[in-house]
Amino acid sequence: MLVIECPWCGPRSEEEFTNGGEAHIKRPSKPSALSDEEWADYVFMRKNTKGIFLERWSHSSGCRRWFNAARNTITNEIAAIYHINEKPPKEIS
Amino acid sequence: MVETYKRKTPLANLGLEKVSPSEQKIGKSLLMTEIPYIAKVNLRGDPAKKIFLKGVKAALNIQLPKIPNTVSGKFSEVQAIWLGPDEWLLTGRSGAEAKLLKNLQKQTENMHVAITDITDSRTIMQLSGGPALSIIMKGCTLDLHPNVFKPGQCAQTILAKTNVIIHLLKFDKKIGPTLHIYVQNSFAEHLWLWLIDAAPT
Amino acid sequence: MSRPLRLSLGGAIDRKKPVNFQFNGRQLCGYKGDTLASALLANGIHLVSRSFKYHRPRGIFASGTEEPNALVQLEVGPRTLASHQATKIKLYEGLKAFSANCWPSPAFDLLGILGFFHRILPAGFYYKTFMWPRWGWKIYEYLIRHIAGLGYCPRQPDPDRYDHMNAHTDILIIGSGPSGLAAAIEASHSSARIIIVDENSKFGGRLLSDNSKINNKSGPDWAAQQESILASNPNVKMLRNTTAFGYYDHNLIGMIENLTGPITGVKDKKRQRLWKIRAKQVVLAQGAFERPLVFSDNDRPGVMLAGAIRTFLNKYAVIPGRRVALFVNNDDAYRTALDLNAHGVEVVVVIDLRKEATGVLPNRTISEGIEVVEDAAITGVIGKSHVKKIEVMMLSEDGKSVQGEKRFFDCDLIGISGGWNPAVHLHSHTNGKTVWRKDDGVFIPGKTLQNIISIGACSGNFSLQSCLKDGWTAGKKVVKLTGFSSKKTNSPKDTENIPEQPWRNIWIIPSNAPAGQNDKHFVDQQHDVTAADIQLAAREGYQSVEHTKRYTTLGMATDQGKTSNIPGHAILAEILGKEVSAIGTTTFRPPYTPVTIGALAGPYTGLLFAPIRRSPMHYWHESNGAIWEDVGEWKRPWYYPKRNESMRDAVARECLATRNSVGILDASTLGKIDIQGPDSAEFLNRIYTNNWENLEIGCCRYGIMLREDGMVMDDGVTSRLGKNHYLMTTTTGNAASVLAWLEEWSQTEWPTLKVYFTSVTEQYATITLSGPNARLLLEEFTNDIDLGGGAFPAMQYREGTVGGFRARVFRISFTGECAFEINVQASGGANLWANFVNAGEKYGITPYGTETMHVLRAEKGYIIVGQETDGTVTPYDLGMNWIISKNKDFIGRRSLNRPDTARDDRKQLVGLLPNDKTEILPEGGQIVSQLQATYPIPMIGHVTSSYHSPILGRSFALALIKGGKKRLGQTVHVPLVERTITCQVTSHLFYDKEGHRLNG
Repeated sequence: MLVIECPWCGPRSEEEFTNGGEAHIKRPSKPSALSDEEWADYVFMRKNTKGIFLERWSHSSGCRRWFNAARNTITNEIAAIYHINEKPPKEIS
Repeated sequence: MVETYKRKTPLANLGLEKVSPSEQKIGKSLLMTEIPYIAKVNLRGDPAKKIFLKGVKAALNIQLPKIPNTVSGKFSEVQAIWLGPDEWLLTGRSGAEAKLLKNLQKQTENMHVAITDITDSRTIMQLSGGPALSIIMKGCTLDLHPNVFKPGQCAQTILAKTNVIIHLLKFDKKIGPTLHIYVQNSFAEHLWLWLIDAAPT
Repeated sequence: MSRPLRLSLGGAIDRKKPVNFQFNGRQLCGYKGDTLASALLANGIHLVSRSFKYHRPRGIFASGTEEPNALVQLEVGPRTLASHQATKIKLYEGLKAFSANCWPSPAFDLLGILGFFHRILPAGFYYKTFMWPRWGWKIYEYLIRHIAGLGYCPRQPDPDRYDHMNAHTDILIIGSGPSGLAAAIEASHSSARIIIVDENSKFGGRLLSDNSKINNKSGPDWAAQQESILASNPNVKMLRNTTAFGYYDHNLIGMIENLTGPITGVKDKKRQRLWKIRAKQVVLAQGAFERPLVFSDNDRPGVMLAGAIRTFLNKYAVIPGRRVALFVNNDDAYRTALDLNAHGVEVVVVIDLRKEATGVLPNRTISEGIEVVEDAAITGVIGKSHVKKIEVMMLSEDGKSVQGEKRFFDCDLIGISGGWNPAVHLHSHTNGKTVWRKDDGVFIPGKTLQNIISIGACSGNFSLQSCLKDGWTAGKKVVKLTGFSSKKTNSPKDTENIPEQPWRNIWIIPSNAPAGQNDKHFVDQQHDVTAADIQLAAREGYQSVEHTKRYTTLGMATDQGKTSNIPGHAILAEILGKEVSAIGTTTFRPPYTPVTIGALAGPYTGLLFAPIRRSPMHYWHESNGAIWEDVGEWKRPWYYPKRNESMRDAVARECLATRNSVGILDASTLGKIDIQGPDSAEFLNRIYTNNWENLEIGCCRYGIMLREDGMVMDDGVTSRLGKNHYLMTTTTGNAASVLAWLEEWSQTEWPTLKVYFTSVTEQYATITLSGPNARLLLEEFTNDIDLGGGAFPAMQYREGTVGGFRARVFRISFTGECAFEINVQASGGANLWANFVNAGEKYGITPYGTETMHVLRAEKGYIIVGQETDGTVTPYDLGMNWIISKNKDFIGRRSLNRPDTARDDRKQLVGLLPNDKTEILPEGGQIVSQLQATYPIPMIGHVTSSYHSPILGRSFALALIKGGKKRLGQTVHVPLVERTITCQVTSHLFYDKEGHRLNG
């Protein structure tokens, strides 16, 4: 059970959160212009990173805000938390 | 407002009203009470807009809390509980919801806000007495130590597998803490039974 | 019995409080403060159980958590506990315990004969022997199950209650031995929050077992003093009888606190408490386990760890033997000789593996007149059910064989010590590495990412002086790390501080014959794994510790190899000619000690098992005989049987009443989301497949939302309440996930769209009146809503007053009848419902449940998300092409054009009519197009919903069938175990195809 620091509410137990998978996947602005492969890549393909992984979380049992986290998938260390509309901190990316 | 005899609190089935106004004394030092029908309005709006804050201030006569997980105002009058960066739970006296809604709508006319009556969606359980916080710790992962969770603070969290808002009103040296738990109606009986099970006898 | 086995003075027992207990039916007596093991020893009982595989007699071997042998079945009936260590059970009045693995008794065990056949039970025996013939396994399993096992489970529900507790702390100290206490005392000078736990009821750890002095005070006195200092500090929480069983991510530690024994008749007292403690800094001071020596027949009752002998003697004032031989490789074990001698117990001999025993403690032992034989080994133990005599020989130069004359010593207790193993378990749970310290052959804690400081014996610093110093230093350090400040203090000191000489590790003690030939060198006593088994595994090619462990089952018993792992690994390394560090260690995983299921469940049993959500009308349903259906966390009325009515009859009655007059349904559980903002319509356009711009105020529209992969996610009706104001309904089960879905898109992809969402599911009680008389009934309750079909057509909404409540009334129908969904404030639901039922009596108003709702909607071909859909179904598959807008983008749209999604042989929704009108297809039944003699028959689909329709007077079903749209009119079959049901494929609309009733 991780401790996740909600950017609004502070450190809370993982049970209050929902994981939203890989972060920074933008919905294509014109899906109809995409080939089947390109669309499938957006819908289905996700990284399975060993190490620092950028992912989205929602504080679903708290303030219900979405945010981004950089989590080490080997150690579960959370290296950074940043707002949903922000880019990952430089030292991470 | 509808006559009280036509209404039922979510804990009505437990027959609490027969035990001096909806009170249950658990063990030696814990008092559990349901406070139903408190007016509740969910407010959403952009706090970066001064005109919005001004309008709300004019409607409620209190400032919206900007610091996460804090509460402004008075429970006995009007109170604003921080729920999110653009969301608050406003409370008022029983029956005041229509007036609250009207005032807010008037003062935020033509603004992008959402003002929603949720008076009947949650009930409030008041716990007071020494063991109140340690009982909650049995089913909640929040750190409720007095150094960390202070009067005037609130938190949305999970208690006994149920989403709740916990608001610490005061911490009296003799009586201990007094706090409110806001719970959705449908979960209220589960939570009440759980609290009684968790309370020391 | 000649002389008592209990000392008249000393120990942590209360001689004024005798405690009666039973062991294998014998009435015995111990004292308050005893464990079951110490009380048994005080009664002269060593033989406690039989071993797992060979059924060899086994006695008490250790004094604590590491005990591999002395397993008992504790108590009888619903409270019985299997495989409990006698060394860990605190004695209580009326305790009943029974030997494990023995029939009929530990002294005379019929299955002990297995020991004679040990040649047929080598390592991997099960894998090799029971592989053929294949059909034989059933028989083998039956026999093995009868022979193997470590006790039995209770057959009745556990009557005890358990507690949970979460806690946060700055500093958590696990273990209250000299190092843990020193750390706690030092840290307590700050204002940091501290929790210190110990698995025993008294703090002090090893100090209570040894004859040591700290700051000129006896060990127990010093410990008691520190304990009382800590107890007076409000920042310090002390947990006794509490075992830390697991170390989880981000410094979360799971613990079990034993509150009472499993005593019957203690009402309302909780038996155990599960603690989940989140710490900023953790100090591990778990101590060490004494290492056994692997010698010939080292499992005989009467063989005991030397340190355990001191524990029984000093802590419990029990003399575990009259004539004691010691077999050691280190100085520390000589303390046992000295302590026994001081209490007048005869120490026959000390056999030391080392070439010379010249340290302070050996010299003191010799000076007290005790014989010490250096460079020698025990090569045999005489006495099957109890030690009688040992055989001793001198070691060869390299220590790998024995030589010279055999000597024999009479004794009834053998104290053994092969040094100490740091208890690195919790450290290891964190993925922490361990480091092999070659000097003395121990694994010590290495790197970990958690906030841990390991100190004292569990970090490999065994001497009392270094434990105290470690604790003191760690105490200072954690105070600083947690941001507090401490005081200037001095470290406590070991008053004697005796230097010790190095150990000599010989992993397999040689005997006359190679290990395993005539006798057994046990490594893992609980799983009966011998040195010969490990040698065999190595010969068969096993190289890795992890593989060898699984092949031989070394360290896989309930004690998790606390005493056996290191010797086992060292033996494997030796055979492979490698360093121990090169073959690695197995990873310790939680739990450190067994955890009861009851403690994990805690209060969440029975009525509190999971939250039960109750609608505002819940108790009306209950008092009117509703049978419940669980829908998510909600209890919904399934049907309301009258007296002895069957489910089928009740549902038929409810269906017909609704079709013919009026039915009433509690629909409060449906999700309701209030949507406000100028961009609401645009947002709905992107979420739903159909168009929302042209929905007028006061109108409702059905919508389907897809996931981005094009599959149906949820459906429901959304109504436009005002210019920028909508109310969305969702299915009961998806209420929370749909709201989360909307928030997700709003916050992450479309933050510029001005729209807010608020859940109002709980704000309203929703009552559905459905049927030809619904309008007549509702008219009695409202003056301000014109209910006439012209003024208030289907799929519209009105606000007004109903039964004295402000109400939102929707003409939404899920039954195909004229229906009104009436939403009033939740607290008024029960009142309005009762009034409807009373007033509707003249129409024969009938409350109906979810089953009737399902039948009625299926007759109309309406889908239920989660029943007709399973995450692989598109709206096209459901024949809902009409709901898909061609001129806009929406979530999932692009996926509908993917080749796989656009295939025309996808499973499509159809109706099925069984040829036999009385046959009801089972839901989930597989459909085939042709019956054939050879299997497998290609499956073309499955039944999604199936009912008896009272209005049609026959059975019918909905199904998803490959290319179903083209199969209308065809015959298909649903083969079942005993029969096959033949059906016709039809349209999925069965009743009132024109919709006259709905629109009426």
